[in-house]
Amino acid sequence: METNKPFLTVENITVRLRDQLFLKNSFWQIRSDQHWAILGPNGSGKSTLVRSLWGGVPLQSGHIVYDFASHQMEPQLIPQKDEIGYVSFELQQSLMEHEAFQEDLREYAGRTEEVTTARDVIFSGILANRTITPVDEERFLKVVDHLGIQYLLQKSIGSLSTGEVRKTLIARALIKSPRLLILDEPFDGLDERSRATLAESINRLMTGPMRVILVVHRLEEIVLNITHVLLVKEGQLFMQGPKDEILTSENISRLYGFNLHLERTNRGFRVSYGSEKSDKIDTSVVYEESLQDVPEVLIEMKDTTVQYDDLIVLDRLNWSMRRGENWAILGTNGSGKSTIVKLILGDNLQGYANQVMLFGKRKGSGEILWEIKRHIGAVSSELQVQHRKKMSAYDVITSGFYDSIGLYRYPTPKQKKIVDGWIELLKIGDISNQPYHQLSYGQKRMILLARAMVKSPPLLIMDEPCHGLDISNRRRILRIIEMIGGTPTQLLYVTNHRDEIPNCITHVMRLHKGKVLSQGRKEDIL
Amino acid sequence: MVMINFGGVEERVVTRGEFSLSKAQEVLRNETVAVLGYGVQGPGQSLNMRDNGTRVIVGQRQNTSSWNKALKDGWVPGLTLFSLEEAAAKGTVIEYLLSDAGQKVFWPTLKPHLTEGKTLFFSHGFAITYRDLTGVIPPKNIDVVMVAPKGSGLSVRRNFLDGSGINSSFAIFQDYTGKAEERALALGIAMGSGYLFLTTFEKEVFSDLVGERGVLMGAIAGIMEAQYDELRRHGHSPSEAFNETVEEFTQSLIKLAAEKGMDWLYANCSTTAQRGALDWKGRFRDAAAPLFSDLYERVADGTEARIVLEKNSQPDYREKLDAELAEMRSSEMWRAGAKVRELRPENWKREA
Repeated sequence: METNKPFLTVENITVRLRDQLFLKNSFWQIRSDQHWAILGPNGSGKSTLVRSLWGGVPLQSGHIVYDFASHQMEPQLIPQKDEIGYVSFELQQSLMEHEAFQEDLREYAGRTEEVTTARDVIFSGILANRTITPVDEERFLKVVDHLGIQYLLQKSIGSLSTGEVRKTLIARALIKSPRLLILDEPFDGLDERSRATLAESINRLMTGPMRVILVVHRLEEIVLNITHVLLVKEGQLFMQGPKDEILTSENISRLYGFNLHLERTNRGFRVSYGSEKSDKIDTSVVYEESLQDVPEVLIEMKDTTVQYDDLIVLDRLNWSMRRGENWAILGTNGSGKSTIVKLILGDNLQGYANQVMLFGKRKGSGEILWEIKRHIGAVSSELQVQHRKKMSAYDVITSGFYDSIGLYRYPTPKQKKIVDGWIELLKIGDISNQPYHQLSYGQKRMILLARAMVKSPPLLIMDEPCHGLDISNRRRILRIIEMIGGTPTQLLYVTNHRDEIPNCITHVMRLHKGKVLSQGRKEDIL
Repeated sequence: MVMINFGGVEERVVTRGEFSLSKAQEVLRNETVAVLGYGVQGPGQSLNMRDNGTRVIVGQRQNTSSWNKALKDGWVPGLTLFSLEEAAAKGTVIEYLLSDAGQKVFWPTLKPHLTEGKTLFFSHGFAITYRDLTGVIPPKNIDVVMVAPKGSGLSVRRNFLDGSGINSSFAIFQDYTGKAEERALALGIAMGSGYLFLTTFEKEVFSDLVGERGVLMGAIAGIMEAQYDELRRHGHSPSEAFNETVEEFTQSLIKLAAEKGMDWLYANCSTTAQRGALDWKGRFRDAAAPLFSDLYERVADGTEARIVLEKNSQPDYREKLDAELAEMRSSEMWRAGAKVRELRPENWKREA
């Protein structure tokens, strides 16, 4: 048994990302009996580091020694793509973009029944290099069984929830039986139960010879069998070593730049915010009382059903949101919560086939979509994906006044002041002048929140707003949301995470497989 | 009405400043727009109009994939989704968006429902321009108009959702009520047009058919084949020949030309390319000019239209067509191309 031999050694590397150098002169080593977690704030360089391991980002200097593939005298310096499995949000996004383009082509050709299935995606890594062998088929069955995804194999990936796509990509990585598995934020987008079963699967995978690197934002997601931790801060490796040595309240506080308290429980770690003076957030300078009359009932859905052939996504939903109420919708993956958001925003066209009333107007009665959108600010990862055009973050924020993807009109001086005000409030001055598409996932989220709020909307819809944010940004966004809860803007907050529901939420709906389990005042439901 | 100068020539253009969405809504207030055919343009136009508050219904043959798509898009059978004939009966504006061949076939069924004062709407001038071949001769007591978006049904929808728009041309063939132009523009705005350019049915079709046989598809593929073959004849490898004929064109050069114009490209490329391109541009133009003359004549005198309609009605056409397409697909050039595409560095499947 190979214990304690070097597995992979990062020797004095500097990495180049576009035109900047990161992780300068970094040293790191994984030994064959170790599993590592990488932790750090948004944009700190964690994803860049793990991408350099399989050659996704070029090295400016130094080298990476793949000890597990090296022979006697010859160190292996070429990235061993076949031996490394990789799953990340960026990969998921590339996949969805590619699929969107395929759908365009199919639409052009009139072949709208063709789809890319989950099974196609799982085999895609192999098919890029060769044909499928019986060994591959065998591995496929094992992996699918292990992850419990038999039921979605023939479904189109366009119809899967974020969590289901995530599991499909993990299967894709595992099918080549890699020596090293890199999981970049694997838990984001998964509901509590799925997170627990995935953590279990990952722990189990860690008992074999395969090494695992886990990149996480939440300390709570560092699974039991992780042995070592690497902290990354501001483009540099900050600290590395055995888990228990590195994960202390002091080190974590230094990593994120504010007071945090770390607690070890028998289930893992728990983080709580330390005592700290909370700066009061003054929104009067950017917030404009809405001049629109908000009716007593903002949203009403009667017997609303969304269906695709045999698949019922939402089953006779009856719900209304009244003035003064802040709602949270809690549900597992595929429960239908994002569908409700899409019906409200007009992104789901079956709103016209149901009794949906928005701001006093019945959908399909001659109202204009843009008039409805004017009342609503939205933040979601779907919206994040839609912003694929190259533009500055500042322009993305400004486009919020027009509900457009892309900026097609010049803002007035007054509008500019409001944009600047929100930038300051959210403390995103350093990123707002950069090209939007170059920002990290978490940074983009903050830009979209500013975009949603610039028109001081009567309704703010947030679909998993904390998804992908590190602890510092999560705290910031939750405090902003808490603050927004105190303004006339009402909230519709959709999430997997019970513990993320802000205090200002007054009502909760629990959804499961398209049906309402319970709905009502927060105190009664939770 | 605004006149915009295009390279020294003034053209009439209608802008949103002149014809706003609220004006369009007012004009269409008592109309029911029946979109016949949920294929390519149908979805884009009908979904946009619906989101813009217009009363729209869809007519489509049942038990087809287009019918299923309409269901998924929120059209309700018996309420907003009907058979072609029922929709034609209920609509006051009939958008005739079936394929060119489909329009000819369905016309006898449609005609009786085109009662006095209704509007017959097209997005392509084919059926009307070549009416002796298609049989599409509209009754004298209706308006006949056209709005042709300059893009696929998908871009019509996508641009609308993004908050921008798509430019379109518009034309009036017959104005019985005196309101034909107003209605055409209202429909154009309601379906998400940005700028609307005035043309005629005939001009729209002629330029369209010349375009697809010429630069847009016919000429370009022909020239590519000619260059590729010549390079191969002199021993260049398939990948090299393909790269210098197609790949660099599609992946880099044409995108620059799209952004800044071909003239900018000429002014900013290497001096070797620049000198050569300028010298040879005229020679290629002069060699192609007689071909374009022939092409235009055959489009204008109906020969091209007749060929399309005749061929499509032959029973074994599908087979012959498949053979032609298979020949192109299995040509060395396009197979080499498939391999080149696979090896593009940004191909996402090549990620770990």
